[in-house]
Amino acid sequence: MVTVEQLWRARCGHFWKIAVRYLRLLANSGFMFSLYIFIVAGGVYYQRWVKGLSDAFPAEWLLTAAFSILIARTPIRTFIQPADLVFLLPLEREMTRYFKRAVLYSALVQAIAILFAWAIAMPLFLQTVDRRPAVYAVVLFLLFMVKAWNLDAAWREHYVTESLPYKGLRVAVTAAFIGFLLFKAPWWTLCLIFLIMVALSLFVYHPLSKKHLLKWEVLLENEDRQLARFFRFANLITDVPALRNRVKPRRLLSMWTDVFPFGQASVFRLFYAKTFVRLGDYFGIWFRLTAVGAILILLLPDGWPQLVVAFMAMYLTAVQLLPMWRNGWEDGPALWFPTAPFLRLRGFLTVLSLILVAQSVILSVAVAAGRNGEAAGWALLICVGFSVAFTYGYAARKLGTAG
Amino acid sequence: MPAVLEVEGLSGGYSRRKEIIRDISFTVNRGELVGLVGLNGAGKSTTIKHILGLLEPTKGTIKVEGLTIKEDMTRYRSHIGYIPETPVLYEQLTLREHLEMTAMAYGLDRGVFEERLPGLLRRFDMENRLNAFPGHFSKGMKQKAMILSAFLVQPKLYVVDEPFVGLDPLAIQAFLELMTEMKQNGAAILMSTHILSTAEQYCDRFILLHEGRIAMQGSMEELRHASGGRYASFHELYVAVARGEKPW
Repeated sequence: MVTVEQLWRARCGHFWKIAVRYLRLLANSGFMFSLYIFIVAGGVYYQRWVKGLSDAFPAEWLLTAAFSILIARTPIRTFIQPADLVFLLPLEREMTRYFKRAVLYSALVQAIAILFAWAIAMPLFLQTVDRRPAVYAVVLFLLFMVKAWNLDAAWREHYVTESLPYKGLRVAVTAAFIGFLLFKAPWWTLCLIFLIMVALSLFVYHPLSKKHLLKWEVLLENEDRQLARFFRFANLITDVPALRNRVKPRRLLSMWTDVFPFGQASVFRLFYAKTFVRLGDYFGIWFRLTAVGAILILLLPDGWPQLVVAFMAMYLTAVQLLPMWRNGWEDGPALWFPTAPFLRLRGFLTVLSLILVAQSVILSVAVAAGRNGEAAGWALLICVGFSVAFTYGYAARKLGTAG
Repeated sequence: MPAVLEVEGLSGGYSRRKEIIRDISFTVNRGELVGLVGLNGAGKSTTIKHILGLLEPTKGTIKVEGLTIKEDMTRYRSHIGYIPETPVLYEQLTLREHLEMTAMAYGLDRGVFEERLPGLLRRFDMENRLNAFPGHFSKGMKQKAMILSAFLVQPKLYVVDEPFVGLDPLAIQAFLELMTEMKQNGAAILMSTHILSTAEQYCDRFILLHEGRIAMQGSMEELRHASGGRYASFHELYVAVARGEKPW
């Protein structure tokens, strides 16, 4: 028999096992180094900027806005999974202890975020709001307190479908408290808002969880959204399988497939052309590498360095487009289509070569922008040559045998 | 005229060592709807996958329009329209693109495609889903997409694996009507299902699979006769076979 506490530990542990794997990749990529440079450089400029601030600078407004958003935004990680809506639903009462942990966990994570943000705000606060470090510390403590109230209230909001008015109320009270705090309103106004918060908890938010049932689907939706956010972040530096099959309609862009005539020969050209435009990040890869390549070419001096960049961009694109062959193919009606197997390979190669040739043209135009006709000619020759060689030489052989 | 589908002495399964179906023989003729019934795991879907050529038989032959898949894979498959038990669609393609792709793959003209499409969409109430992606479809709508693809092609042989699950009553009605029409136009249909009342009403003949073998086959009359008239309904007969009773 698994207790809900054990379930929580298992779920949380499972997430962190995956998270740590991605974070390690992140640490080993150039990302951490760039971040470090950014922090050091940013810190120096920031200090200088703060010192030069005039008295008219609305630091209180800025801090109020920033911390109201940070504190009122209260996503709660529950690690709920779709199947829980079937299997754990009957245990809603027992799950209270599970969700208590979820709220505590979210409190911890969000407290750390506040701590960091408050540390960043320190120079600004000491310079403009109040010089005394003790006040700085007390305000931090009060911010934690408001966060705790937000978490408690936000959790109760999961019991109503129409939660927007409750969210609005919570944001308003939070912003008012932080504003009064930073603008150094008389102490009794803060006490008043504090009393309002207690009253709201007792008479508005807590009754929600007694009168209504938990909206599990909302929980699941929130959980999905937060997980997706983490994966999107990790996706910046590595390929995240969970995101591989996201589909974006891109209706205008996918109209280019109209160039293929109606008929059996076009079946897989159409299939792969649409797959390229819509599935996963294939189009994104192509677009980013083309754009970065073109910009680098424009910045570089005319001549062979441009050609090297063009070639590198082409090569990186081509290699990353190859998985499209299988991705999005598994389990579909094409399995029983009355089409000869070579049609699929031919369709894929046609689409791949068209994509690469289009990139060749764009990169060559970037070279030509430097008024260097000869280099542009060479670029076009090299890029198109590579496109054809990669598609019909390398890819055709590799995929033809792999099936 | 030879049967559209001839299955003879078919044995097979997912691996050579573990055969799921054994020595199965039956035919489906032009203008005939044959019901393939049996418990979960009796071998219905396995039989169907062998017919489609998604699995390779260990023994026996399957001919569609007198042709085995080895002789001409594309022609063999071009005769078959398949509606799978679990709808499978491409996430990155709209309904219209699925249908277009199917029409292209089966060698339909654009004219024929455009002509058949509106009527089919109307029957299944999918007109305003044409440009939607299957990610936003319910189970029933996905199933409708599969049905649309099969009927769009108008093949000689329909292979239908448990089509009713998830369909709303109107869609079931539309589906049954279409099947009857296609039958009258000379199509052969093999349909596996658990909905016995519907099967009894619409099927011309039945194949009762039990533990990978054919327990009985024939028209309702023939089955009744073979069981010595003990069972009034198809349901009772089926239950008796499924329990492994064979008192006749």
